[in-house]
Parts: sequence; structure tokens; C-alpha cells
Amino acid sequence: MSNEQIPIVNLIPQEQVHLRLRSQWIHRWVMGVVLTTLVIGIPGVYIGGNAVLTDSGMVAQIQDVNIEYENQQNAIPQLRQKIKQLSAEQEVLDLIKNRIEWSKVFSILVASAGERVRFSRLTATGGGIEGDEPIELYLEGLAVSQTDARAFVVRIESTQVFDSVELMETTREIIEEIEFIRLKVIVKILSIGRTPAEDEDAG
Amino acid sequence: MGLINTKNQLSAIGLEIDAHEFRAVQLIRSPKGVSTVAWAIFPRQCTRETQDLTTLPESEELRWAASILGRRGFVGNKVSTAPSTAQSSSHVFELPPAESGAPIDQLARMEVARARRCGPEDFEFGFWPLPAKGRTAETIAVALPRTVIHTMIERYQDAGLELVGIDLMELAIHRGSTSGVDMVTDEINASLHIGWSSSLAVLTLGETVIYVRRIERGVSGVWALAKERYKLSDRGADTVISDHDVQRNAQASAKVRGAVWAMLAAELASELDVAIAYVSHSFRMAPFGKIQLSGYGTSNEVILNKLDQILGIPVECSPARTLIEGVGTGDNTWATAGRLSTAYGLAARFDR
Repeated sequence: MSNEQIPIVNLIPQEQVHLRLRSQWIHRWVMGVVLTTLVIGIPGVYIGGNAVLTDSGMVAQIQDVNIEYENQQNAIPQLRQKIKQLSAEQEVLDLIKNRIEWSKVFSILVASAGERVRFSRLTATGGGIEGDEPIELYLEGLAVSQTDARAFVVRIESTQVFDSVELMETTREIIEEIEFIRLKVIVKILSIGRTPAEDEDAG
Repeated sequence: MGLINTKNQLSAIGLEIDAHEFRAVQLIRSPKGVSTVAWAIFPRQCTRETQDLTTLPESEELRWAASILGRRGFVGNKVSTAPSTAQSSSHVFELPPAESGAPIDQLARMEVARARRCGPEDFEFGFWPLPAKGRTAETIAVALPRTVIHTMIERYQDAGLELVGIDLMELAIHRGSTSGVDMVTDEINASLHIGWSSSLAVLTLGETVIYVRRIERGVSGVWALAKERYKLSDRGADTVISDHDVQRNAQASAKVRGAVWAMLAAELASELDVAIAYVSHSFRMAPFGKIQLSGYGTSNEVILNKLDQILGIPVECSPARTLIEGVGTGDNTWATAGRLSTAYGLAARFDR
């Protein structure tokens, strides 16, 4: 019988034992790291150096990407504001896209009339609420002669702004003993926003 | 000897300290067996005249001892030691059997706390079951106050030593003095450790320590007698207690030795007789084996003869073979190895 069966009693408190074992492990790890560094240090430094350089480049890239990301994140509210503004403008444009610039229409009519045609009546019908329905202009006036009346119609047609220009009626009329030609013209605008030439190209 | 070989295990430094000297042993365990790395016996730094020495030196003295150990070939700074039995308390009580599933550790701790009239966390303790006496299943526990333990740890730490094991003195003595002996199961044996200020009788049944008797007599009385009655110098008194053979005036030396040891031998024999009688009464069917000596005077003829004369039981000193080999050959080999056997018992724990 050997005396290895004698009980081993250790009166050192368990917390002290754990503390000591922990510090032992830490010491061993540190020693292991130091030994590893010493053993593979020289080739490790060379190989690891490159890795470190590569790592540093990657780190710089990551930093750049992060900065860019942050900038873009900061720009998002501004872009949203811009989108909102553009959407509002788009809505306005949608509202006004079918509207006729009457100033241009009047300018064309006046320019086409010249000095020898005078308007006595001008009305417009159609267009609808959205402005996307055909519009019909009714022109009534006095021309110095038949030729002037027809020339007026031709000039309007030549602007190619209107879809159809029709000289409905011409009658003689004496005003203060001077003979004039009363003319009635109907001008139609079928497709809003596009000239007849554009309609032909599209057709 | 490759100390970094993973198959080899280096022990902590087994360190036994009394009021007179330091005794240290370090072992290594390899596939071939256990062998001694280093051993040392050297006196305390403080003199007896200037200080009331205890078994726990101050940090400064421990640091000084550590430097000597380093020079004497000890490796590392881990130490296993045992406090004096004067600082511990022994208790016997009944516990449920281990098979019952009861929390034996907690119950034992509560029993010790109740006996010591202190909190259950105020001490550390070791315990083991005693052999059954009829229907009675008792447990023996030995406790040491935590304050003592913390003081020990701090002092060793301050000295640059790491205390990894605190053993019970009776177990260290038993382990050290029976390392070279084949123990017989169910036989009562005794280990008598002769210390400086006190001695300890450890009685065992097989491998189990069943009774410990502290004897308030030690070699300090022998030393004082040699100095006072025979006017010997410190060195002369040391020679008397160390069993060194003195070639010159050998006859006179033997006469002095016999005279100064006789009183201690008689007292130890008487105390041991009481202990043996008590144990023999408790375990009547168990035969008695031997008395193993350790500590001072293990080869002292006066001690051996007196114990044999009074008790009639074989007395021997059987240190571990590896310790004897480590100490080397010479006239004082057995005496020195016997003196180191408790330190050997501490090192043989192989604390990590």
C-alpha cells in the first residue's frame, strides 16, 4: 500500500487559487506571444509588414468609403427637399401644360391682320376643364378688300400654329360710304401643345 | 535533467520552518520515478536572544531564505508549507455517509464553525472520515483561521515567493515519514515528529490519520540543557542535537548527548504511550505496527532505546529512498534525511 492515498489538503482559499491560476494563464499567454514573436519574428515582420501595409491601405479605403457614405447620408435630406421642389414644379407644369399662351395667339392674329384688317369680334369656345379638348376661335372683322381678307387667312395658316383656318363668310359692308369686306373666320386648335407640323411628324 | 521536458513535473519547494532552522526539499517526477532536485537545512536568520521566533518568519527573513534556496539549486519560487499545529484546531464529529448525497462539505464546515464558535467563512479546513468504530462513522477535521492563512500568503508574496500549498502538519509528517515504508492496511502505526519547540505524534490506521497528539516538548530543551549544564557553545549544542559524530572526544560527547537527550526521550515516550493507549482502546482489533521517527534526533540512540524500552514497539526512521539518495552518502545521511522528511512530505504534494 503506498502513501499516495493520504488526503491532499490545501488550505489556500479557492479565490486565491483561482486568482493565481488566472495570473499563471495570463503569464503563459504573454510568454507564448513573446516566444512566437521571437521564433517567427523576422520572417513574420517581413510578411506581416506587407500585410500591415495592405491592411493600412484597406483601412484608408474603408475610411474614405465611410466618409463618402456619411456625406451622402448628409446629402439625402437636401436631395429629398430638391425632389419635393421638383415634384411641386412638375405638378404646376402638369397643370399648365395644356394651357394656351394667348398672348402669342393674339400676337399672331394681330400680326397676320396687318393694317388692312380690323377685328370686330373674337370669341373662343371649347378647351375643357383640363384644356385638353379642341378649341375653336371665332373671328369677325372688316377687311379693306376681298384680297386682304383672304391674305389674312393665308397668313394665319402659314404660321402653322393652328390646326385649321377656315374663312366661313365674307360680305360687303358700307361704313360711312366706304365699302369694306366683313369676314368671319373659324380657327381650330385640335391638339394642345403641339404644332400641326409636329402632329404630322408624329402621325 | 531536462526541466522543461513536459513529462517531468517539478514540485514546489517543500519548506518546513521552526524556531531553529529552515528545512527545504524539492523533487521532480519523471517517468522513471521521483528524485530529489535540491535540499537544504540552514538556521534562522534571527537569533533566539533577539526575537521570539515563530514558525512564520517576517517577509525580510523569508526573502533572505529565498536567496539561499536559489543558491542551493532550488528552482522556481513556488512553496508548499504547513503551519504549526498550535495555530490550528482539530474536531471530531459525525456526518452522514457520502453515499447519502448530503452536502458533506457544507455540513462539515458548519460543524467546525459551531465548534470554533465563529463564522463558516472565518477558516479553511481539511477533513477525512475516520475508520468505522462499530456503528459510529466519525469524521476528523482540522481548521486554520483565515487570518493566519492570509498573513502567510502576504508574507511569502512580499518575499517574492509564491505560496501554492498550505498543508496540515500531521499529513505532511505522515506523508514524509512513511514515503519509504510499505504501509499495512488495518495496522496502527505512529509517526513521531520531534520538533524544536514541540513534537507531534501522528497515529494512523492504514493510511488514515486517526489521532494527533501535540507534545509541548522539543529539542530546544535539549539545546538549552547542553548550553546551561555543560556550558557548550551554540555550535557545540548544535552538534549535540544534530547527531553529528564527533571523532575527537567521542566518548565524552556520547556521554553528554545521552544525558541531555534522556529527559526529552522519557517525556516523548510517555506522551506517545498515552496516545497509543488511547488509539489501541478505540480500535481494539487492530494490531500495532511501528513508530516512524522524523525531525530532530531520528538517529539518536537515546531516543530509540527509550521508546523501545517504554513502548516495546519497533522504532525506525525510514525516509524516502529518493531523499536518502539526494542527501548523499555519509555517516549522517539517515539523520539528515529524517530531519528533512516533513519537508519531503510537503514537496511530495506536487502543488502547482
